[in-house]
Amino acid sequence: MTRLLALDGWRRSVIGGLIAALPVVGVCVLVLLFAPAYVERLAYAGLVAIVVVAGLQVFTGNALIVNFGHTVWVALGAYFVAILTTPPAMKALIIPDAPWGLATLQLHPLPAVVIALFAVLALATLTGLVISRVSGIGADILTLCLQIIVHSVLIHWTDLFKGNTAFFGVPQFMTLPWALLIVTVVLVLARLFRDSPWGVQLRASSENLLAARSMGVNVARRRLAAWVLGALISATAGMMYVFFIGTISAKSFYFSYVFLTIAMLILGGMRTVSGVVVGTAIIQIGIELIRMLENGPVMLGLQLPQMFGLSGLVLGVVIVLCMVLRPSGVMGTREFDDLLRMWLARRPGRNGDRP
Amino acid sequence: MLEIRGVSKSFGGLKALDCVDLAVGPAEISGLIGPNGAGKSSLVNVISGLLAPDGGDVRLEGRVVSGQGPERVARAGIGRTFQNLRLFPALTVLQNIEVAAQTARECRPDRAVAMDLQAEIAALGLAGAEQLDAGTLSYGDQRRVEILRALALCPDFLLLDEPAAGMNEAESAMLATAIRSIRDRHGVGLIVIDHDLHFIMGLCERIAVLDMGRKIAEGTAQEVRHDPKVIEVYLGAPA
Ligand SMILES: Nc1ncnc2c1ncn2[C@@H]1O[C@H](COP(=O)(O)OP(=O)(O)OP(=O)(O)O)[C@@H](O)[C@H]1O
Ligand SMILES: [Mg+2]
Repeated sequence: MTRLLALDGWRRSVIGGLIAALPVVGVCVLVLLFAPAYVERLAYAGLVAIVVVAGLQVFTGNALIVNFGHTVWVALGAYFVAILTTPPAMKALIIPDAPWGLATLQLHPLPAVVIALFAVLALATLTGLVISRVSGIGADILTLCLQIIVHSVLIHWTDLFKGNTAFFGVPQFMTLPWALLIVTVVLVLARLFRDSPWGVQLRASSENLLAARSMGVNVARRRLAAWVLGALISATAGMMYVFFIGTISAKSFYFSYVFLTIAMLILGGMRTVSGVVVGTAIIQIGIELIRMLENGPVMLGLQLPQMFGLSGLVLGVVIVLCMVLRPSGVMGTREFDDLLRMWLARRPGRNGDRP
Repeated sequence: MLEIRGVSKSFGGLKALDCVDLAVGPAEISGLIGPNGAGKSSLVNVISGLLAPDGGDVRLEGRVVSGQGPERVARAGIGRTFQNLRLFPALTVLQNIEVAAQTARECRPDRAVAMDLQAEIAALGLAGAEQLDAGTLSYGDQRRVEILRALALCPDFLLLDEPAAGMNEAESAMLATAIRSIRDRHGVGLIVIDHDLHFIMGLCERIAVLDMGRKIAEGTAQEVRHDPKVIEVYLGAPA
């Protein structure tokens, strides 16, 4: 075995998470140095997507239960900090009738983030207690119900969430480097969970439920832990988003975004944290390129026709191809650092180290 | 002490287990034999909590553990393997074992600390395979991983459902030695099921014989071998 193989425990997970973050950091540094401002905004959207998909991966990737509800945490995270940090002068316009004196309250972003995370923690624990007890399709359906219920509340509780129209005026202080730091921390966290004893037990339960239970695994509790951690990560993504853009509207987190982020997870490979980065990058970049095509650009002197809806079409086709040709996604079950380790072990001249 | 008292279990009209009694003491290796469909695996499923018995109960040190689900039984200190392998195929050998080891750390921390899993892996001849995906191993090695995984629970009792299936004579002889050594070093009581009578008779101090859900004989290898009922229903002809 190579020396790298001997490296085990949490250190290996941290390094693995950092390796997964490395290409993201590389791309963002290039963007910061050389790219125009609109590309920087696109890169920021990509970073938000990575955090959303990482939150999804923590639960869906480890428990193998599809989660159609993960974007409610993105939305709630964003709305909670928006409600807490937006200046009262602005709130007088948006939500003058907010309950519990929220219309006149303004918090510094830091306590607001902490309060929002605790609120999400509480809500995720409550919903998780129900969902974690159900297996198979029943659990998938419950996540769908959660999505519909929360969306309905966001749309109709206009006093608090402003309803169908955009909530605006949220302080915008986030920058790309800070988002990059959050992405790195989140990828390391997701990886730490995946490799932790609880994460391994949860993955075991997804591969063979009866065997896991027969090894004493309390499957519901492991699922709950992943559900709550995933929700907190997703909520963080929502906060990153709103503190950058300054506005939110509930429909931007609804089904098209659910599908987009699930597609990212599936394409990259839901079993790994590296897959989160790969799938998000391919789809995020791919969609931007296709959007340019949709507008009917001039290419090689040819005026191409406008092709609205092309991105949705291509996204669907890519997922179908992925499900047929490589159902476990680009990364399968191996992280970047696993591949690196296997490559190092296979290199000629190092055979002496192998068992 | 692991006591099975009057356990019955029916599937539809089929009596898979009919008032079965069995007791296994600490550090005792007990064999369970019987023709196909006799109810051996069903008995293991009842003991390990996968099946709730229709009648009777299973007691560990006097406490009833049956009918409470497999998690409870595993946590109480009874480990098992599966006749139809049930490893976690995409997890590594080490992670498979880790799943049970974590339970041991939660439920029996003192023993978990004392258990040297690396040594156990080596004792079963799997040193060097720790980082391989369990699903890529040969069936023989998968059976050994199942034993290691159950052992990682630091159990008081182990139920091995056909651990030597598919192994050649040399391999099952090595397995018998390994099982005896597990018993000697950890004081684990075992119930071992197998169709290989040579393997069972060489390994087990006591042997129970099941047929059509009933226990028809129990005793030492010698006693069972010469029991006319056993010869009739199980062996067909004198062994
Ligand atoms: N879950 C189940 N549902 C219905 N019938 C079952 C179930 N499990 C076992 N049986 C039936 O119960 C009877 C006993 O099965 P069991 O698997 O316990 O036998 P066995 O002694 O382990 O046989 P083998 O030596 O083939 O492993 C068989 O007739 C089997 O078909
Ligand atoms: Mg059987």
